[in-house]
Amino acid sequence: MKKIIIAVIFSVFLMLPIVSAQTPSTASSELVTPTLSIEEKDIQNFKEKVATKVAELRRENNRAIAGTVTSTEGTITIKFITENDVEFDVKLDENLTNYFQISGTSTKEIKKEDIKKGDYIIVDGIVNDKTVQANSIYVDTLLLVFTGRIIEVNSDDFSIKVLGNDKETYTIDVQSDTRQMLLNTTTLTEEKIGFSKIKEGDSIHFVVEKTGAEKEVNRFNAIKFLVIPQEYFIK
Amino acid sequence: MKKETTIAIFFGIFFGAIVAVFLIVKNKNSKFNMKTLSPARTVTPSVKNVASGKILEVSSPEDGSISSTNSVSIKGKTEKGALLVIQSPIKDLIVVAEKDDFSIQFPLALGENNIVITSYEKGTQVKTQVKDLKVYYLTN
Repeated sequence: MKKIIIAVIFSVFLMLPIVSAQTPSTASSELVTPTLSIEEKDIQNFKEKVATKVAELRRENNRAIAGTVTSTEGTITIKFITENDVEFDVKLDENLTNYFQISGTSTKEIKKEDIKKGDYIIVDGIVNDKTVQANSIYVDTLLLVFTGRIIEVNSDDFSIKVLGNDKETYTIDVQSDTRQMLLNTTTLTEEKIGFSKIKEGDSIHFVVEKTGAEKEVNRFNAIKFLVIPQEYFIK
Repeated sequence: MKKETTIAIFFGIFFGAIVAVFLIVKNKNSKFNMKTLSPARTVTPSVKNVASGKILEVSSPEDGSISSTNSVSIKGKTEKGALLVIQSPIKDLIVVAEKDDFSIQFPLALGENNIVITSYEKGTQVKTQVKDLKVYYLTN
């Protein structure tokens, strides 16, 4: 009997390493991977997924908000107001916040003191309610894009009155350097036109610069426009 | 071989096998638990059906998004045959939607990009749909 018990215990211990070394998914593989390393691999994967998620959340919280500077008083904040009339405080960090001026296709580094009241700025940072912890501030030009229907063409002062899709009425002044384009209804390509080709009732898509020095509400100098003639819709 | 030795070997193999089966089952359970620890998969929201001529949907990019590249893919849905006009300060793009969904590569200027997407329903100037997008192309 004693021999039987010894033999049973011996056999059990003999089988243990065989079982613990099994890798279910790689049964045919010659390389036997210990269970511990699989668990470590899973933990590693899990850690990587958590790290990716944290990075994603940081990216999500990092937002860009643009608006016009209303105050630069004080040393640590800039107040600015967005087009939705929401005022934000921008928290600046002496060491972390960078300042840039956008001009064309490049940026130039500037100083905080170069930002003036009335400047249009883009703030890139972490937004918390009405406060932005700024990573970077860019001084930019405010260019607006609208679309609507031409309701009046005035050849005396080269202005066009437009009823916008937002139900607002805009007056755009056509300058000598305004890019004036018309849709060719046959080829569906743009072609240059003169002011005389613009007709009431046509649809218009236009880009204007808002400087803040406009003399009339909703009256801007046009940078460019594209006219979709009524003929396109009735052909 | 003695009878006692044969019985001992038989019992040894039998109990060994039971322990082996127990450990394999336990291993599988612990692996299953590890998998449930993984973060849940992101569920992509389903896209609404486009009612004829009524809807212009823009699924990407998100309004107010930041791009680190100088172009963006504008994706969305509109009526098949609609005239799509996509305008920004640096680009005008005119296309006729061949299908009820579209995906258009559109260039970005440095800084703020106000992009207006207009869909004119085929044959009518009245039923226009407009979407405004702001995309920021920031390099620093």
